Amino acid sequence: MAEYEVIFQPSDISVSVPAGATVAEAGAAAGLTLLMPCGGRGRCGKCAVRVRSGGLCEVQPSERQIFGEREIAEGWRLACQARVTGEAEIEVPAASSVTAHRVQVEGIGREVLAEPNIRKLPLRLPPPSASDARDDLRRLLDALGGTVSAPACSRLLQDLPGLLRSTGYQVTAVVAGDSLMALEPHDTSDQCYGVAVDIGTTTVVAYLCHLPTGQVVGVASGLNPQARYGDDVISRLQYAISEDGGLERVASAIRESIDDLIGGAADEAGVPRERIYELTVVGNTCMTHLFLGVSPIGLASLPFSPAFREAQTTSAESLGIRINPAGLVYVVPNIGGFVGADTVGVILASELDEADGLRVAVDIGTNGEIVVARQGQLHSCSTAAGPAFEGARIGQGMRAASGAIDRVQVGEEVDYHVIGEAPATGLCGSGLVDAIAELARLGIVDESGRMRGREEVASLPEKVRERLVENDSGREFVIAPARPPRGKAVAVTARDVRELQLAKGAILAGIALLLDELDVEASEIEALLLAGAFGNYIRWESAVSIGLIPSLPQERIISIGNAAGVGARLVLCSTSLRRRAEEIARRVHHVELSQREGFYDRFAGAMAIRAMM
Amino acid sequence: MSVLDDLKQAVISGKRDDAKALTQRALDEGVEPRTIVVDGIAAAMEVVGEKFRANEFFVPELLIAQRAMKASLNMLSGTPIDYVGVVVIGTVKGDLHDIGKNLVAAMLEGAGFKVVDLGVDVSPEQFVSASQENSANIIAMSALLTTTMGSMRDTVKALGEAGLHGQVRVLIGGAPVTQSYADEIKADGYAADAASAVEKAKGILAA
Repeated sequence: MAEYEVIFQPSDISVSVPAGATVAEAGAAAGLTLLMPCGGRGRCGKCAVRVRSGGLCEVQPSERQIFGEREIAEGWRLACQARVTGEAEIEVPAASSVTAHRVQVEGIGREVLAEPNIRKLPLRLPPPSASDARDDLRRLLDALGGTVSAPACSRLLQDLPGLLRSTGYQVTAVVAGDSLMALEPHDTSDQCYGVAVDIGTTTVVAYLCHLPTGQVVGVASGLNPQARYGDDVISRLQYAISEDGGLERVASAIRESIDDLIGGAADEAGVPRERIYELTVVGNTCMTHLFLGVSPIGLASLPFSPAFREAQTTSAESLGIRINPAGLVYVVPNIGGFVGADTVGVILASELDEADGLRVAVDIGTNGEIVVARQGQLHSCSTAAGPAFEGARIGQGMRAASGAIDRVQVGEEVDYHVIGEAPATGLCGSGLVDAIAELARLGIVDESGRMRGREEVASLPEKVRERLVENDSGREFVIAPARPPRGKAVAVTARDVRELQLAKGAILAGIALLLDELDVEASEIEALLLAGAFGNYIRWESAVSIGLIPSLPQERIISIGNAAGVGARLVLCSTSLRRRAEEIARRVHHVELSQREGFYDRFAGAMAIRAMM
Repeated sequence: MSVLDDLKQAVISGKRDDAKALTQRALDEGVEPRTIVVDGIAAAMEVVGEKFRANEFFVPELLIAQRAMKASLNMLSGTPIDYVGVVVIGTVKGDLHDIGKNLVAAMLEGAGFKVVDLGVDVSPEQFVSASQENSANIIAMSALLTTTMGSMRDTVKALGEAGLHGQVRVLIGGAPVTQSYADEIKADGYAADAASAVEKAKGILAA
């Protein structure tokens, strides 16, 4: 049996195959997977390739059904029909193959195969003829391999006959899972987009992704407008359940915001909204309830039972979000209590579910979710740390935006850095942690969190001592002095230190209690992953020295950025990871800290300002 | 005099073993248990409350002072102490916030009340039966959520149904709670912080 070499471009891979093998079989042997929705029966035209040179059998009748004369002259063939009869060089267009596109995970490099829920398949249907009088719908579904179902009499069916005839039977099918979502004229297969949304309590982020490649083509973020109804989850939740029309207002606010973010990202990337077919959403349990307009009343009191836990799918239209009219929304499942879809996203993105050694992920945000993983066992808790790390409840606290002090260092003088190099107007989370770490190091704040008086710190340099002042509201340490004519000084007050103690005490106690669940010590932690935007900017030395996180060496503390958002993207771009996320949500053992004996004691003990564990 | 000063300092600093030793010494010296409570323990807890308000003390300091206080009080429990009154205290059903409630409990105990702390997530029925079992003068309730406040109204109602209205008084507090809410549900008093809770409790008894 003769063998011939076939070279595939643009990957420049060659393979030797026996005469008579189809180009598709040769491709498979070369490691290239061609899309063949109709199962290789020559019905859909999806496996179209172009022969640059060489020996293939004669053009088959089924191919003439798909290609016009000009295309055949240009060398277009169906890989599933064309057989190798000599050496050949074959060009494979991107649209015909499945390739592994790299979905970047910040902090932890990872490559994931793009196999999104939404696929667009360009079809060239053989037109009706005497020998083939199939109805339009059957003709279409056959081309899709008979594995896809169409929605019951709908707009799609109404438009079908006209669309097929006006396009010469060349249309693009938009398929979600195994059902037909929409039909578009000609080949629009490359214009296939989705948006992954992370609904944070304070910040909302939307990632516009090109689905066939998993590439992010645009990002838009903004403040969660629900903040006007409360800066933390509990107050927002209370508004939604006790105010007349509260739930509708809170739901509309977030949906409008997401709609705006999508519009912004789409405009910038030059992507029409109608080419966006799916949204995946993560957020904590309360956020996902409010987004879907479901009352979070169960979360308002013990035992914190949400209305739903599993993944929810609905239409974008029903939520007033303007993407393709048939567009879908998939909300990632929650874990339990307040620990929700965003934590599932973090676990998925960091692969904690497959961790062997002891790994801990902490979201240092308003809700302070913690996950501890070891040998497939996963435990989570929410510490409701409060928004101190996001600037709230701190006298001059603010978000990490222009004007925020985000770094503080004290030597002979008090040095600080301001975001945007603008005049200082406040302190953001990382600046607060730095400031308190420095004050503790200098002995200005003692271990119990008490701010000392000037007379108690006589040994410090004068330029530092003079910053410690006392007024009617109590003691404070000035970081950035007032600048005439209008400027106001930025200071850390004794009260601010207490707020930080509450927040960081909750997180450290949560970590300690979960480690107890697994009967392990903090020193055994292989990696401590800091998630959330805050995790990227906090200085690990400051976090360790004030006892926000256990004392671990630098190389074991890893910032993983907005891992929840990455999780949402992974779920958007890969159906197997979507299944894995659903599995993760079922598997995680959620611990309700308030019910744990000794939590209060641990919490109080964890408030001390010093390196711990 | 000096032994009580020392006891007061030991409680304030949360030195449990010292507090126990000094309590024993005071008893040995023939100091009346009542006086030990008033001049040693209550005086200490008043200072603790002051320091908490002034930001000198925080939750951990309160906790250890409370422990030292309890250790001292436990040593006096065999001896006759005229409690000023009996208070049943708890955070209402569905709510789990207790830092404030714990501070009030500590202050009341320090002021000479017998305090039965039911913890958190306490139902109206539990409040009522505990007050019956302990012959309580006052039920003190705390809530931090507007959604759980309603349970206070239920407790007042349950007291009425048990025929105890007027006999057992009700004192309420917590961030969303107000005097007007107290009036609305016919509670006997509202206190905004721990120090005023002690005053209110004493006032309720005198009335």
